[in-house]
Amino acid sequence: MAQILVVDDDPAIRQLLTDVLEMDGHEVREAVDGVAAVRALEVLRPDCVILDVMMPGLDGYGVLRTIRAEEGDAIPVIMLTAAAEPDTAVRAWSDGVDYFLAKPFGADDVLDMVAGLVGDRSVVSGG
Amino acid sequence: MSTPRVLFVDDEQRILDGLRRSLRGKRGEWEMTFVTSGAEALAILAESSHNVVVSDMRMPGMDGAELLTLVSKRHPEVARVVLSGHTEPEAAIKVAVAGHRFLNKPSDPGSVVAVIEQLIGTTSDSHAAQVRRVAGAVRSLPTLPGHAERLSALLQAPDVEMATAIDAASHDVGLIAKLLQLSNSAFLGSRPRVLSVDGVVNALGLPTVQALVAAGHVLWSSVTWGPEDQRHLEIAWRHAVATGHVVGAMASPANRPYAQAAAMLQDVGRFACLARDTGGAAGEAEATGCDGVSYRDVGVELLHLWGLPAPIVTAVAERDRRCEPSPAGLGVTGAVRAAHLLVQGTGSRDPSAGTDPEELAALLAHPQLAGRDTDWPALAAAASDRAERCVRA
Repeated sequence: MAQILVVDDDPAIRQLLTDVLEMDGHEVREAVDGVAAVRALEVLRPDCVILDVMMPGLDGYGVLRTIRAEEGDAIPVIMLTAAAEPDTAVRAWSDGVDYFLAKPFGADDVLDMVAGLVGDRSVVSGG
Repeated sequence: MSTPRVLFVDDEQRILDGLRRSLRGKRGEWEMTFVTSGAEALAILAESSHNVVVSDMRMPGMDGAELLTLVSKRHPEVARVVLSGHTEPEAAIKVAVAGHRFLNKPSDPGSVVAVIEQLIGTTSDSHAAQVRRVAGAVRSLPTLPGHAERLSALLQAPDVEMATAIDAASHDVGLIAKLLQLSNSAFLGSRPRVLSVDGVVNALGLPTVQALVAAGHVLWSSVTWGPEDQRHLEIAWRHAVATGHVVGAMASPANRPYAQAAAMLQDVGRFACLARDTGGAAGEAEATGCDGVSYRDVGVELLHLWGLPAPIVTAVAERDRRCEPSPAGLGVTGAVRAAHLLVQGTGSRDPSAGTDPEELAALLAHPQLAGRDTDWPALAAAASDRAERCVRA
């Protein structure tokens, strides 16, 4: 249905997200950290990016800024946060994040968010 | 609930046979009838109630546009789907005026089934049935006096620039509704995903947009509003444009096109009710609804009939509902509600809706808005001034 890029250095979270999204019919690509995500975005044009905040090297905020600088507003971005970090979260809002998803999250939380962002296009696209 | 009835109309028996074959799997769920002319279709509709009619456009004698226009007048509760092989501007105008949805010929069975299933709805509930009747009678939205002429003259200019056209289109509620209806149907190809007004104008191309405006001009030039109706129209229009400006600054990037569309279409039900063909004797508008149903319900039903994305429909449905935004983000609904409440504090307020300073303060304190270096009330006041100029222009 939609192609989603999952970016997290934690393999367990990546696996969880991939399972949930694939069960809902999405095509998932994974990146193991921020640098890998930026490299993946040179060749991919995902319908949505799910991005962990805390990653070694280039963190989620850096990837977000890269996405907005390179791709403009066209790609929806959901950021994963472990704990509330008000200051950095505020910065992410002005950098153009679409939603924050707090860990731990339920499968429905992810799927609802993604559905709202990538749209319910199955009807007119012919499934 | 009784078995949903779907009527298919095409002068080519071959096309009907193809549909019959590909929809075999639905025989147990729907009662399907296939006829080869508009006259036969009207006779069937007069005999038994139907949920959906799917019609070819080009037919000898009564064509599809004529048939669907008659259906909208005689049987407004029947959802209207256009099945067509042509995507030239002329076809755009016809579908935009007469139909709710658009299917390309040939369409894969999955698309046909999905569109019909969405439109069958739950018409067993008498309130929902009345909402469908009122919304279904709508073929086009009204435009402000003088507005269509100006827009038309602007777009017909031989050297009109894309940016000018987009700016003009993005202030016209009726045109936006039509553009989004077309872009969310199969009209633009197999995978439409165009939401912003500039995206739609670019995708449809200027000739189609010009033709749409010209058709709207013809449609509305003969309608004369009572002074009270015109005042209601101007207030709602101005509120929509002001909210659209504010929400553009509030919504997140991916939610922005949805939020702007929802802001412009927030009062689509009121426009639709004002626009109804009252046989020349325009009645004075009621404050919050018509024919026993609320403007909001009519608007939501219209957006559903047109197949607009769920976030837009939800934001319009919940505009007057208190919003408790999730820490995850305002989303489309929260941004539209926040922009609406802000505009309620300006000269572009909607007098039929209330204010809620406490809720507004809570929304503005959301991290999505609070951390930004924006004076929101000042931004809303400026948006209101722009909206006033747009209505008075």
